[in-house]
Amino acid sequence: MSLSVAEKSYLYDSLASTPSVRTDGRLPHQFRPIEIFTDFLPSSNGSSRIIASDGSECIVSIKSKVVDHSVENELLQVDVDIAGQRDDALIVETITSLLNKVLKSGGGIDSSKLQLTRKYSFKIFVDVLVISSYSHPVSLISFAIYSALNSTYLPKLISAFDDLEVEELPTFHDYDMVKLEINPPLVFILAIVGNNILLDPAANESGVANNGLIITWSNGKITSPIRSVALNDSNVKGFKPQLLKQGLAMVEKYASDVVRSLENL
Amino acid sequence: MNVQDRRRLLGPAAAKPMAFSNAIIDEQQKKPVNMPSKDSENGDELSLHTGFIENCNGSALVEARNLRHQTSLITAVYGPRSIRGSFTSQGTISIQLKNGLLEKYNTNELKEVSGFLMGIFNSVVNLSRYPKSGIDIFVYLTYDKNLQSEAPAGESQSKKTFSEISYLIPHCITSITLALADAGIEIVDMAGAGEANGTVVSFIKNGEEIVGVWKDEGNNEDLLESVDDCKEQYRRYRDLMISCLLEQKSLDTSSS
Repeated sequence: MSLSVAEKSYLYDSLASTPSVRTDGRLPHQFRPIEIFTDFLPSSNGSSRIIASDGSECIVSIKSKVVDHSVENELLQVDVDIAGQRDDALIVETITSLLNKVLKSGGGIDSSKLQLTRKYSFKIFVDVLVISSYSHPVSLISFAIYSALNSTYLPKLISAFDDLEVEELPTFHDYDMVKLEINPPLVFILAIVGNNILLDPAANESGVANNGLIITWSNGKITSPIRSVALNDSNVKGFKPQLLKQGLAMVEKYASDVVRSLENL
Repeated sequence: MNVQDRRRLLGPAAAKPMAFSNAIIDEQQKKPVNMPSKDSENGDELSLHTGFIENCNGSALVEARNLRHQTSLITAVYGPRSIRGSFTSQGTISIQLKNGLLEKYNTNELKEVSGFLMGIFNSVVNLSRYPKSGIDIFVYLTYDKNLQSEAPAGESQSKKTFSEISYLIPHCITSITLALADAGIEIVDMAGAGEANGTVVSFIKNGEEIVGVWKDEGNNEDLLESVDDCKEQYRRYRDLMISCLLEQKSLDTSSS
C-alpha cells in the first residue's frame, strides 16, 4: 500500500518526534510478533518457516554434503530466492552476498563444528525462499536461518576420525543423527528517522526512513558485517555519527533477548 | 550555451544536440585535465582527471596507490535523461559497477557495492531537481592490484589483510562525485569516504553527517575509532576533489 505525500509527512513527523510514535504503538526497540515453525521439510536436514505479523513469509531449508575441506574453503553457502524478483535483481544479489559474508567460515561460523574427519567436512547449503515480503527481508531471513540451523540434524559418523593414513570415505550410521551445534549470527535491521532509531521497521516506516542500518550479532557481541542501507529511494538523507553509536548500543542491549526467545522454540 | 532538452528522447544515438558557435569553440578547446595529487602523509598517491570521455555527460578517472593497493577506476555519468512510463516527481539513480579485464570480484559482491553506492548517492544528489529523469552511472574497474606481497615483510605481517573491496569503495565514491560534478548535476555536498581497518565511512557536510557505513571484517570495538580516521581521510580526499575541479574550471575559463 503506497501512502500519499501528506500521509508520509504525518508519519515521518510522528516517528521523528521525541519520543517517537510508531503507527502500531510499538516501542523503538520492539519487534513485531513472529511465528516460527521448524523441521517441517522431511527431505532436508533442517528447515524453518517464519511468518511476520504483516504477512511476510520465508522458508529456509538446510541440506548437507560431505566435501574434502582442503579443496572447499567455504563450508556454508547461502542461496536466496525472493518471489517476484529475478535471480539477478539487486535486492536478491545484495542479500545473498551479505548473508554469505554473515555465515562465512571463521567469522560467524566455527568451521570445526562441521569437520567430520581429518580430511572431510560437511558443507551446509542454506536455501532461502522469501514467499512474500513488505519491508526489507534480511532480518526475517536471518531469524529463519538461525532457527533452521538450530533444528538441523546431520548423520552420525561411525568410521574413524583419523583418515589420513587409511584411505576411506566417512561412513554414517543408518538411523542415528547428531544435532548440529553451531551458533549462527543474527542480522538486525534498524531504521533512522530524524534523530530516532527504530528496530525492525515495518513497511510504512521503511518508506519514510532517512536511512537504515544492518548490524550483525554473534556470540554475545556485535560483529561484522555492518552496513548502512537505503530503505527507500525518495527520503534518503545523511545521519549524525552519534546515531550510529546509538544503533549499536540498542542492538547490544536487546539482541540477547531475541537470541533467548529464538533458542526457546 | 547548450540548448539540449535532456528530458526528451533525442533520436538516434549519433544525433548531436544543437549548439551555438561559441559553445563549439569551447568544446574544441576543452582538454582533459590532469591533476596528479600526492598525499605523502599516508603513502597515498591519488590522481584525479575529469571530463575526458566525450560521449557522456560527465566522466572521471581516479588512480590511487598506497602501500597495500593500486587501483584505477573510470566513471561515466549519463543523464539526466528522460525515463519512459508514468510521471515521477524526482529523478532515479542507477549505478553499475563492472569488473574490468580482471575478473576479480564476484558479481553479487559488486552488485552489493553498487546498491550501497546507490544508497549514498540517493542522499547526495538533489533528486527533486530532476523529475521524470534518470541518471545512469557506470563505474569501470580498469586496474586493481593487491601490493601486500611487495610491501616490506614486517609491514605485511603487522597489518591484517582486510576485504579488498572495502579499499575500493572510497575511490568509487570520489570518482562518482567528480563525475557528477563534471556532468553539472546538482549535489547537496561533495561526498567522500575514508577507509580504516576495513571500515569505510562516507561523509558529507564536513564530516557532520554520515551517508554510508560499510564494515566487512572485525568486531565493533574499533568501529567508532575508525569513524574518526575515515573522517580525516574524507577531508583530505574532498580537498583534493575541490582543487581538481577548481583547476579544471580555471583552465576552461582561460582557454575560452
